[in-house]
Amino acid sequence: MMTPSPELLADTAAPILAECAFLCTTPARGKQDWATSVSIASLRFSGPRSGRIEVCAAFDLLKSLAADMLGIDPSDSDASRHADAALAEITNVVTGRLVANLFGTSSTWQLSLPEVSHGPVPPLGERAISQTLVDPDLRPIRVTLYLGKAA
Amino acid sequence: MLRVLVVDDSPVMRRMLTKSLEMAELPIQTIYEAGDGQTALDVLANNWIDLVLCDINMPQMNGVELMEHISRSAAMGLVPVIMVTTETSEPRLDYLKKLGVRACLAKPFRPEALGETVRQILHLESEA
Repeated sequence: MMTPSPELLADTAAPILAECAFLCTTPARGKQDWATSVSIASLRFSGPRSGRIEVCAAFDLLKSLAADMLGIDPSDSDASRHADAALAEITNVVTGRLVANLFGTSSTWQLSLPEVSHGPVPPLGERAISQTLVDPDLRPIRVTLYLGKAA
Repeated sequence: MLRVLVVDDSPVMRRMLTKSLEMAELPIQTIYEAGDGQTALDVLANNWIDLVLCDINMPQMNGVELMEHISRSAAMGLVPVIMVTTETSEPRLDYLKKLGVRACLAKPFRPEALGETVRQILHLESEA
């Protein structure tokens, strides 16, 4: 079992982005230049501890993500149509792996269905543990963990 | 020739599974899709299905509930089910195996791993 940290978020999310969508990412440095509106996927988990994972990224990156996951060109209309679904699925996979890394596999936990909304990048809450990754074009994707108290 | 049912609430994942089945060069005749367990039960009730690939976390009826229904049916219980999931909780995976799930494949998966798993479960010959 591992300690929650920005490094753990990066170590969990980056391989998943690479394996699911051939998206190579590295931890971002400094302030990021976010689009005015981004897609925000939120997924709750409960088990030994409860919490929430939030992943946000701009449409441009998500269109590329969807295209890579679907094996189509980013200019294909399906890439745009499935951009949010791609984000939801990435959030689902990241959460599944993260809870296993945090709590081990001998416990049982419940995951909610991911919900996707749109708006400005949400401010980080008080107990947020967050890591922003960037792709080779420096487009950011941010993973944030909010962890509740132990059950 | 195989008739496969892909059950996942994510349209992206259903496409990925479909593409992976094609890339694995499995003898696929038809791929049916369902976005939740209830729809999957309807497809199973009305079609001959050779294999089910199923997620766990879904609306309306999740993968565990679907498997509980399948295991109670003499006919449906004969259809091999492979869970394709982010789930790694050992108690839950053990429970699914007791219900008759033949294999659990973790997301993200490689098409080759999906192909190998399907071939093993269905006793198909490997590609040369």
